[in-house]
Amino acid sequence: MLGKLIKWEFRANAGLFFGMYFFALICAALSNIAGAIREKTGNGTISIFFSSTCMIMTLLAIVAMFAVIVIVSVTRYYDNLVKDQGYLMHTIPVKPWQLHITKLIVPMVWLAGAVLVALLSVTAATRTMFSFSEIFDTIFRSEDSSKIIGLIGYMIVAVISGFSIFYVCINLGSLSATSKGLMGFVSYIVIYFINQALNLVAMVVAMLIVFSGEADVWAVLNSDVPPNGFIEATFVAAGIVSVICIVVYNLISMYILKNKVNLE
Amino acid sequence: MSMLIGVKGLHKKYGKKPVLKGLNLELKSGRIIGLLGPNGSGKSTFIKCLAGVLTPNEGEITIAGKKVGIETKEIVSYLPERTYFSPNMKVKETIEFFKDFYKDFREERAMDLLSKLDISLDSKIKHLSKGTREKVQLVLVMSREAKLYLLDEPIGGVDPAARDYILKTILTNYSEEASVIISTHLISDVENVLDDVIFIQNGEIALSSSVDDIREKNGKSVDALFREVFAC
Repeated sequence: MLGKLIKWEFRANAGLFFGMYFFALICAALSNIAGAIREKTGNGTISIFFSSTCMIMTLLAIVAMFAVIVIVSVTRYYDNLVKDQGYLMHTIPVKPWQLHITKLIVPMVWLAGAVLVALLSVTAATRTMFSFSEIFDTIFRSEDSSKIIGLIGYMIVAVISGFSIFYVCINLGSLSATSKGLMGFVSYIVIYFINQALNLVAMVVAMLIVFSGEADVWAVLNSDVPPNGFIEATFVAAGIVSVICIVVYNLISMYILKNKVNLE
Repeated sequence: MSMLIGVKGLHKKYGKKPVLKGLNLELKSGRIIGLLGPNGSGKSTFIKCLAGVLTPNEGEITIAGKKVGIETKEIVSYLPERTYFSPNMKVKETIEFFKDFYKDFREERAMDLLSKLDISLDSKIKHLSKGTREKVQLVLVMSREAKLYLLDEPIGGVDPAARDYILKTILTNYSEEASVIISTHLISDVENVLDDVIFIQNGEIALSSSVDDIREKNGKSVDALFREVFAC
């Protein structure tokens, strides 16, 4: 049943998201053509205007692509599980955790596609012909590969965390008898501050661990250069906090969907 | 006839307002049951609890011996008051959706009913009138070979001709061993098709009886008794 849910989740927004991908690629192709024309004709006012417009459109299309995927996915969760469509989704014979997890997996796949499209678009628009094997080598075979992989991992965790926070707030809001939207909004503010506080604590702990090896902490604090491993430790600490929060938020969402469904 | 639904001490509150106040009920299979009561009496809330879209505060519900959950959803076909399909879905996609998730869905039956209604399979839900959307949902719900059909106000917002069509669709499509619960306040329209009635008043069961018993003991129609019980 999970496979079927995922299939329907993809189908729901495939037209819109593929359209966004296509639009970004078209803008990038136009930028590429505009760049080629500018190279041939020189820096005339019209060619500068045309190439600049195309480049701005490409960047806007890329930003819009990511924004639309996030907004539409979160809205769909609300419409699909809390509003009228919930009368269908909560009466199909599937486990509540499957309903929830589908809505985490599918947007992540659409966002991964958007990253790929963004890379292709930037490559095409800027006329810099770097290959995917170059990107692969930079990530996995360079001196800094562990840092780059860590950063990518952190970004993925941050995106999952973002969706998990939105979803748990929607579910907490659904418990309200009268003001689901308001309750969801208040939940978001509370959870946002809890998240910030936990991240701060984690960073302080990371700092203490890193500084524990320093003989003169005062000198390190007054130095312009952060001590070795400080940035990495901060990212790791924030990552661990985010992963714990992701688990907690999703468990709360699944608990509410299983035991507190409230389509009044 | 075996026991299909068991309800014990069912309580539901919206905020602080009690809507269901300790319902106790046992319903057998193979019956058409009218869940009757004025607006706000708790009919829809009770049906939602049976369908699993609303969690009771207290009490227990069993359907075919199982607590409300994934196993009961396999055998319960629920028609809510609202349109529950995404507006962008096409009619043929709604059929595909039901086929994917309900093992007991009979596609041929749905196709046949839709073709009789002259509804195009390529129409998008958002382009259909409210009445047609309701008919599409009814067709899909009645195209399942479920053990229990929960129909929440199926004739509520439609014209008399459509009411006849809806009742005919229900009567000609449910399987004999299944039970049908129809919630409504339009008693005279459904009275002739009912085997049993349950009167709900202020979240409590005011009466649970067979239609024949009501006619024999009270010498009245269900409609007349309803007007007497719920007189303002």
